[in-house]
Amino acid sequence: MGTLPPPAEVVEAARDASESGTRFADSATLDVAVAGAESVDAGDVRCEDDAYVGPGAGTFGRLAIATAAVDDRDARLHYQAPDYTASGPWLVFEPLAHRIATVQVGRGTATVAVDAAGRTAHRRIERAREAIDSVLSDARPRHDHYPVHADEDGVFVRGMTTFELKGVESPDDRIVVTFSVSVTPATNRDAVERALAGGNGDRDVTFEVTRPPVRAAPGTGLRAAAEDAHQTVVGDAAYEWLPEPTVFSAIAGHDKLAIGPGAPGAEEFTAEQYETGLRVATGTIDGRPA
Amino acid sequence: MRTIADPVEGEVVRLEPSDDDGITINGVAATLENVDKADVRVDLARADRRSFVVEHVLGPLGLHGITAVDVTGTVDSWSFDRPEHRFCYSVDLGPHHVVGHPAGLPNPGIHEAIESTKPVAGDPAKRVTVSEPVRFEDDAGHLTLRPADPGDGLQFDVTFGDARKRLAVDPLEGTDTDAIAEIVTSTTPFLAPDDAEAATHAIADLVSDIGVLGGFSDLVVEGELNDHYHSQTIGAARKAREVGAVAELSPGPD
Repeated sequence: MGTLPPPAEVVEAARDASESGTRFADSATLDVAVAGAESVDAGDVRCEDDAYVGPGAGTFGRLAIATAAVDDRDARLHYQAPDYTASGPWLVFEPLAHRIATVQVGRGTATVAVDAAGRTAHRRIERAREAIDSVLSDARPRHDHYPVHADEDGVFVRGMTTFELKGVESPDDRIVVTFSVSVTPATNRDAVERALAGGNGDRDVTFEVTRPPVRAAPGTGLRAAAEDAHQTVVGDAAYEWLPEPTVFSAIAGHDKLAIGPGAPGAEEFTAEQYETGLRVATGTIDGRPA
Repeated sequence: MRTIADPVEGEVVRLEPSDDDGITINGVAATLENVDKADVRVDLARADRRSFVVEHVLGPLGLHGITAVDVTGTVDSWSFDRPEHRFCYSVDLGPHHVVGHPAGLPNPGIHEAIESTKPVAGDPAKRVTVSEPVRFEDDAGHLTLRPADPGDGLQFDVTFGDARKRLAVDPLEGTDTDAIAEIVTSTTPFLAPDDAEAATHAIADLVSDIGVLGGFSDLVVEGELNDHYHSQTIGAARKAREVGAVAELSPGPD
């Protein structure tokens, strides 16, 4: 199996680290959490060809890294969920493909209601289809210069207000389309409502922010340590935003930073990712000023 | 040394004449030593000052043979669709630190601004070549710098994908204005519709990285460019220094 610790051992070690960390909570100078660890277990992954494989593989890989990184160090691992009363500063492991994050995109909900009445059932179905197509078309990302329609890696859209279809209902003679909205620091209520309102004035649009975006301000020591570790190990210290709310935004306060290998939703996590991620993590923890 | 007669505005930047040879961007000298990132873009950094996508500024300056100017970013609003703006917001830098063009062009506004003001020539600059061929190779491409005579300029013969581009540029004296116009309206490979336009854009980046940052004025530059070719260009310029192959030639003509 190479260098990857067996899943069951990772869970046991994480529990031990978290319990011992709780005992010495007052003396630890860094609180560590792993996004998604509250809902992943050893049964969610298997080891195959020196990689974790399965729906929780990425989260499990980052948990393995965090657990190893705090071992014998002045850092407290919170497993499975963080103790939100801890004072921090916080280091949170997220699927960042070895970038560093201090900003997390928020979430909102938008609804678009359109009249779809018709004298016949056929006409009502036609109007419903037209309404849905029109609303979905208006909700697609657009840009004068960038290929946002094919931006699977989120190079551009990660910083844009985007709409993800969550459902379509047809109460009475109306069509109601519901979107989950990515909320950035630049998201503007009027702009959202204008984007979804269409040109005929025949839609009712609502928009509500459910999780605001977060902008952390970690201490310079932690930031410098993370940047140095990334520059040394992966050759680049780049910043990117976290694409959606996680435990990072739930942790109170601004003294927090996110790092981590892997991409969101990845179902494989390799031994190489583990080794590199562990070097970055230990470099970050050890590189903080005394 | 060549500067500009008057302050001018390009797109996203302001240019000020300088009495000292050398280009600065947001207070950081445009030299190899200050290159902090060179792969899909080039960033300059010194202490807490950082500027992003500097090749879009240095390219048109080098194409016009401008060697002495102070550049300041002028963007005052966020465009978070740009990863560089998200980076700046993450580390509490203002958007003016991003000096790259929003459409991925080698700042045609700088080209037009310099055309509108006369360059001012100072003392002749030292011309620089390599004493021997220097080859830089990485995972997906290679670049070779070969010696040239004073006044030959940077003679590029490079490929990008299926496209080949051959052009000579003098980063100390300027280049044919029609050629510059074609280059500064060609978009970055990431956004370009085809390899031909990407290869044309690459000329501006080569001028930026090898001519301005590398400090070379006369070379034959040959190679296959990959999709993160700034690692090749800056890598080749750095390698020339590391192996002691940088050779100064006699000063150019007034």
